[in-house]
Amino acid sequence: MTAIDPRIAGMKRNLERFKLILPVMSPKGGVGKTFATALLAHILSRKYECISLFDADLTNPTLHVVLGLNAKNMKIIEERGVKPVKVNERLELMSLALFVDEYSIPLRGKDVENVIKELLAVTRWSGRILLIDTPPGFSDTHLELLKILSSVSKSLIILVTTPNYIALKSIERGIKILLLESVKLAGILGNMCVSTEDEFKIESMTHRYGIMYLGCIPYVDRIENYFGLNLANMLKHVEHLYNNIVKSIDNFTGV
Amino acid sequence: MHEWALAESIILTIVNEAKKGGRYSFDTEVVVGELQSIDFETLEYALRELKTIAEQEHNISIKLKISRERAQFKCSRCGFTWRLADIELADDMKEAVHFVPEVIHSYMQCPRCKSHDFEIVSGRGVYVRFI
Ligand SMILES: Nc1ncnc2c1ncn2[C@@H]1O[C@H](COP(=O)(O)OP(=O)(O)OP(=O)(O)O)[C@@H](O)[C@H]1O
Ligand SMILES: [Mg+2]
Ligand SMILES: [Zn+2]
Repeated sequence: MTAIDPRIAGMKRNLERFKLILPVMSPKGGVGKTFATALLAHILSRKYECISLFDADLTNPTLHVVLGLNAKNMKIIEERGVKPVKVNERLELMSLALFVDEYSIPLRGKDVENVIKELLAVTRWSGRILLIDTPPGFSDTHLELLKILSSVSKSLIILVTTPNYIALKSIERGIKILLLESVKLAGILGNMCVSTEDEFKIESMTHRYGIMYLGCIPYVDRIENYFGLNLANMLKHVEHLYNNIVKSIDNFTGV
Repeated sequence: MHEWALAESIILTIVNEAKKGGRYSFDTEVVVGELQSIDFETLEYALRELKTIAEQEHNISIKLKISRERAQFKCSRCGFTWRLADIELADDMKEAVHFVPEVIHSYMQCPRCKSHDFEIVSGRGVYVRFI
């Protein structure tokens, strides 16, 4: 007698609809993964149809905040599963904040694995590209996602770093370990650059590893003002990112 | 309904087993954990509907037995064990736990030491046993 987890089949079926899955990762915390994920969603929604977002920072989800959603107004809609929350006509989000907003969600490794499987097994997406915000580090969440994605095989990891010395040191470690595996990288996205010198630090590092440099999001004072609908106003400042990211994706999907 | 998604995953799991080849009849037990407070009638109905379709489409026969499993917890800090029946949860918390059982870690504490660090020992969710 063998016990089988039916979520594995459900998860696969739900993920098969995506032509591309983009996990956003960094070994160091606070470099701007969440902000970059939200901005990327807006950037990508200009060219591609509906973009789906998954907040895999399970113990402290914040992607909805950057997207300008109030968890109190986010309603669970059941329809042969659970529908993601609509951010606008072209963006949708699944987040644990839909289920717990007031408290942290203390989870051990086995729980993390369960939550990811559960959400991916029941969420009824309508997008064709999935962006995944992850917590910092390289632990249960990342390992579980990489495991799941290896069986769907159309994912491209986006690594985020700032020009900060420790962030660069950390991202190099991440790159080195990922390059040893069969995972594919879309490239490195810089964040919080204030000068061309900052950009150069990140760009030259990516070239050392033969990875694509996607460009840098500049440092923005009082960035909270751009959260929500105003994120779209930021797009004109990051036009170069748009071109690079689209190029990286099109290379991968063979468009 | 969320129960439909679960039922679909269960039938899909059986169909995947069938596709591996060599087997045409499946005697299965669907174990439903108490924590997810699954609506039994909806799940049974969904399973029956989807089973008929799968049987015809893949030329197999599926026997399904549904059983329940009690939820039990063990504190990882002090070792205390308890059951779901021992505590009370508000309705909105129950709804959240229905979708993602692990969010119980935000809403429940060890009755002895107040820790949120406990293990869901049994009765978490749904799994399939092939007999
Ligand atoms: N380009 C930027 N300019 C100025 N501030 C920024 C920029 N990008 C992000 N921030 C701010 O820096 C902080 C960290 O950003 P964010 O939460 O996106 O990082 P993170 O990598 O997701 O963090 P964590 O590792 O905790 O998940 C936030 O307060 C965010 O608003
Ligand atoms: Mg974050
Ligand atoms: Zn305890």
